[in-house]
Amino acid sequence: MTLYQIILLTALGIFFLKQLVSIKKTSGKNFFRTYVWLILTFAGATVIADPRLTAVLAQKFGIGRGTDIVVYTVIGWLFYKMYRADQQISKQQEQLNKLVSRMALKDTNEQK
Amino acid sequence: MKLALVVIPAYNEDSQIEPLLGQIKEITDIDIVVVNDGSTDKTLEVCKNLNVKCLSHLINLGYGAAVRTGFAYAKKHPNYKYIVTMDGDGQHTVDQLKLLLEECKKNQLDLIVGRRVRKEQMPISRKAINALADLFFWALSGKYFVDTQSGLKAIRLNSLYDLELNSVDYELCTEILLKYSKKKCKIGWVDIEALYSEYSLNKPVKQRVINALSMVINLLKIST
Repeated sequence: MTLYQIILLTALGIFFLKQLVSIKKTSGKNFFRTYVWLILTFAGATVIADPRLTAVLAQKFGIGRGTDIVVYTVIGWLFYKMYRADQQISKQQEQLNKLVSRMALKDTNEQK
Repeated sequence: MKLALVVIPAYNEDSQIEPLLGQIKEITDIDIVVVNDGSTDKTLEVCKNLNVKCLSHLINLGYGAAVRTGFAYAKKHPNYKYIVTMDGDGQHTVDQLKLLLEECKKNQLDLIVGRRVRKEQMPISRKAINALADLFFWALSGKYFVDTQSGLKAIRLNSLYDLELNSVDYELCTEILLKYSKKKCKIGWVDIEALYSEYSLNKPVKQRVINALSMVINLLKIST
């Protein structure tokens, strides 16, 4: 195993532990999220430990090179995250609108 | 029952709103509500001095959000036949308001829009944005209207109750038209002159190209 692989695996391990702490803080014992992160970390660790696996996987999906499948997956994931972030911002904007509007209307009622 | 409630969304309009409010107050059968959209100037004080009802947003949300607050107020006070939206920067006049209400009463309309057809004073950039907005409206609804972005509108209050609006900014004008045309409501138009004072031309209006793009995206979200 090269030094580069050891650094990446260590970073992945630290990232996974950080996610576990974050899940515990925000949602208590959320097994689903824990398993999702466990699977993702395991998949990442496998690919880092044996990069040739990406080529096998890429061939199964009809993509030429192993690195391409990683790039495509990351792009897809980023798009999904952007979509989710946009939805969340819209939702919060709407809640803020309702709050500010209700406060304005409440002030008028109190003025009566 | 009174004829109309005029909703005026205002953001830092203290220098322009006073004469407008004074003129509208002279018309009997009409009430005014100003939605002060987080102004940092004396808009609120001007309203208080003129004894005009003012709803204040704690922060600046945008044109659409301010109009929606005005609509929410109107729904809680159903003693009006029509709700009129008017800009607070002096772009619309009391004569135009009277004309709008006359046409609305005469033709028993659900919605009437003041169509800015005489655009000598309108800057080219705004003409272009408005033309694109009209085209976009046509693409979404299949109907072509001139000046879908006009802020001067009268709406029959009864038709507003089952209308859910989501726009926060200027796209609200298009959203109202879109939803009324889908509901197959009776929509009418009156031709008005586009008035642009030095003040309104120099105002840092958000109607820039980048905002036009965000309007398009928001409208796509709303209509899908």
